Amino acid sequence: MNGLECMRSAVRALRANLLRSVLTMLGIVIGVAAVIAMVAVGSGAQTQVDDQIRSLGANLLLVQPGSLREGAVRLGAGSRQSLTENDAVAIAAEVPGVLTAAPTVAGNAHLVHGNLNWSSLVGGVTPDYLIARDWSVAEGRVFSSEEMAAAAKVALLGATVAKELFPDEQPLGQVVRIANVPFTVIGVLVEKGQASASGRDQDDVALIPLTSAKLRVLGARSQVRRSAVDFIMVKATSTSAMAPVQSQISQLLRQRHRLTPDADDDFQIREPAAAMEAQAAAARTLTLFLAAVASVSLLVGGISIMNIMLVSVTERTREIGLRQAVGAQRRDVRNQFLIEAVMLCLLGGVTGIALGIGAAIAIAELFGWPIFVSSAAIVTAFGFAGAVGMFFGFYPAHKASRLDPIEALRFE
Amino acid sequence: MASTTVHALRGIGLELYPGDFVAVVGPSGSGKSTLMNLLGLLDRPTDGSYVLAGQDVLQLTADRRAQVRNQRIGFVFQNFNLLARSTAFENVELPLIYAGVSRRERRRRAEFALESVGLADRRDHWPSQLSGGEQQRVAIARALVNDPLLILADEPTGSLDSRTSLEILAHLQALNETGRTIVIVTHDPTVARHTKRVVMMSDGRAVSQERVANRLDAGTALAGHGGAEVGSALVPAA
Repeated sequence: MNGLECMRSAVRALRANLLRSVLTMLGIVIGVAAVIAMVAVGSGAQTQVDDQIRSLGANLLLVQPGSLREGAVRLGAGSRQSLTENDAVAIAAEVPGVLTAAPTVAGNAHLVHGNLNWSSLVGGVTPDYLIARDWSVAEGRVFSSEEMAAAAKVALLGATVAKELFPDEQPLGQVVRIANVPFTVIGVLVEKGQASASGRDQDDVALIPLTSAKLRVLGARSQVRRSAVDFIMVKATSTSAMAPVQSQISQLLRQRHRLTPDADDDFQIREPAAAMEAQAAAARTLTLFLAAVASVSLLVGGISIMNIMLVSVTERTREIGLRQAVGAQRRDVRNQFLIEAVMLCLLGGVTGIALGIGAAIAIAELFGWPIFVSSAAIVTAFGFAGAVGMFFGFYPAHKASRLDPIEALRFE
Repeated sequence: MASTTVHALRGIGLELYPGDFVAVVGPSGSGKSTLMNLLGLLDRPTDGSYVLAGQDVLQLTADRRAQVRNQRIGFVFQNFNLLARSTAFENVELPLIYAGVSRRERRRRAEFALESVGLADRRDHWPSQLSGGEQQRVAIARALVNDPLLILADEPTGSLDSRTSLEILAHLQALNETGRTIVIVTHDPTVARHTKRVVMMSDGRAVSQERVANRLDAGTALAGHGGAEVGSALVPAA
């Protein structure tokens, strides 16, 4: 008996007891739907965190000046001006595993265009900054090295700033006054979405050359050290390089800053994504947990399949006997019932997947939770439903195939 | 409680030749059904031998026996044993499916078998839409669709009225005319008189075997009934 024949006869058998088949299937439908919906909620949370980490920039280390200590009073991070552009150059050149090190100054400034104005974060950066953060330009271009050297009055606008200042204009080539200094817009950054740990809008930013920022806008903070920067963004080549890179930067900076062995660091190195990694791990655990709970209902569904298949085998004992009499071999009988069980489960699986996606969308609408239905989850759920059919259908099918033809034919 | 071993059959020797038409008769409990099950390879004796077309079939595995049943034996049961959820055509087709016959060939042979029992026009009817006689004719078509060596009929007329019984017997006689070997189990002496040889069983033994002297012809009897044509269509080409 070939596969097609088996399937046709399975469909007929399932249709013969339509209500019973549907009710049996319901167990699988609910199980699969629960798994799909729960995993969608879990992965939604996970994806959200992952997106946040990605928008921060992958494999990123933030080197900040240390706190200034005046007697017993310790001022906050960045209160010192210990980092310089040369530190950044040295880190990029001397520490293996560093992809790029971007010296940055940052401050708030007022931006004006025509009769519109907007207060935003202004970053004095080098093109390396965009590399470190995986940011790119949606339209226009990045600063050229000539512009960097000449402290040119050119600016890149974040998507939010561009929207606020140029609601219905092309921003490229327009002039924006940043802290009263006219800058020409040469590019707009790709929108990254509102997603950082602090909830800050990452698109609410304007970038200008580091040189221009220090000379024309933010001013050199330190009168003593004109090359001081607010922080250095370091991007490691890989996640596994993060730890060695961190300790080597620390060594390098201690050496460059001529710190005695017993002196405290005059800088600190942070991993902005670290906190979020923990959050991501929690989200992964949540997904797993939800899937496990939902799987229990799938298991219950499987047991009800087995129950009904056993009933069905008993009911159709005479049919089995007749089939055996006219030449059905054991595997023919076994496959017939196995295919019925698997088909029931796969049909339930498909329905459950549709229902689960619907439920996930409803959850997203009602509670505003982020959801994510991955094709992997769908394929797994479908495969799992089939496996449940195989597993719980096997015993009844095996039992059917072992019937004695005479007993079966005589069965009332 | 003591359990007693019951010998349903003890020392029975039976030879069947191509073209035979044998009735096995005897009171209930005489072992005729057991004999039938052995002949049909549905059961195995605790001792003895069974050679079918030169092959000792008792040594075969369950699956091989299923194959032999499929290829060489056709069954007709008292209660028809049709699959209720399959049409007449699909019921007849069933042995061919297990034989692995192609779809086109199945169609050709099953339709031919239905035609030979005069049910070509009932092809797509469900068993519940057919009369008892028609259902038994579907069963006969199913029994001969695989071109078997041996057709075993267990009380084939047991659930039918006398007129319909005659129809079925006429079909079986016509099949035998074309050279089919048929064994009927029956308790009805009239049915037995339609065959060529009667084996009388009692207490697990064949107590007598004799040729039928005044063989009845079901076709003639039907004509006498003023009944319908069982017709030449029922004679399948060999």
